[in-house]
Amino acid sequence: MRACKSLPCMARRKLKNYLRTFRKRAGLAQGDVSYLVKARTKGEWSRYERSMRQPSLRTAFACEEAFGIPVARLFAGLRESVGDETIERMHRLKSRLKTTGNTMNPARRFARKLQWLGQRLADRLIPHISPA
Amino acid sequence: MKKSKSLSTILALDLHPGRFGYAVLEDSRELLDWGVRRNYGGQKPWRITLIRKKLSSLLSQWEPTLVLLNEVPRFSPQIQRIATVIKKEARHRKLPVRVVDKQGVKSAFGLGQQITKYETACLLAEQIPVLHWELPPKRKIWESEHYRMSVFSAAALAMAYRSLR
Repeated sequence: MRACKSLPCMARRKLKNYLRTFRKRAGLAQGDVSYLVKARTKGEWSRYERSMRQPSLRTAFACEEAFGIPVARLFAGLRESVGDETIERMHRLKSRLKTTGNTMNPARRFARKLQWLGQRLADRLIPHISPA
Repeated sequence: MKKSKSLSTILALDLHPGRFGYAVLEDSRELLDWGVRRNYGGQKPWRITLIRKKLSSLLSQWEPTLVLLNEVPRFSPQIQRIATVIKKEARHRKLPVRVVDKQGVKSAFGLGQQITKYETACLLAEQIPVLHWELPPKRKIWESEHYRMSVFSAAALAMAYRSLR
């Protein structure tokens, strides 16, 4: 079989959202789901599926309720990228605080900030959930 | 920074003269999307544009890391044309394309025995429950193949590729 010759490198990140997957698994049409989540048209829902638009928080919660899947899992890729970006910013804030030092804030507040940042970065409690 | 688990996405295509069935699998087991895209009618250049358009929408949405095609029959210029367009588009996006032959699929599902397309589809519907309600009724000898069988053929390609790796 020709398929087994040489295997390509197949690593990539999660997709921005899995709305289409869960809609199709439920056997629903775009019109049905757009009615359920109160989207204006099925075109609007289609844009959400293709990640051309990001739904509002209200629509995201409606999706969670409709499919019975947590928002973090429905928008797994987006969740992951936002999480990574936030961790990156926390690192930057920590280093900025260390370099600029305690000029404005009271000592205890400054210490608490650094302690909290260190704790969060150590924990890295960002759940990455697959759509299964 | 916490690294995400790397995933692989396979886009399997079952080519027919007027349509292609597709199945998108993540990590070779999670079925993300499936369906049939038609490219009937129109003049040759327009038909090729239509195929490219329909394929590129799939590629942009699912960002596959591998494209699988079924074996192209030697005596079908229409299918060969579609395969050429798909290979060109995949090369443009730097995606590897693999061809899985009929024998590979049969050996993956039949375990050495002869197996029909419908039996393969039934086995797939058992393995992937979301496909169960898509299973068309068994074809009578005087009927032509149901268009939804392409979806099962495409999914079978991906499963066969996984089992033969």
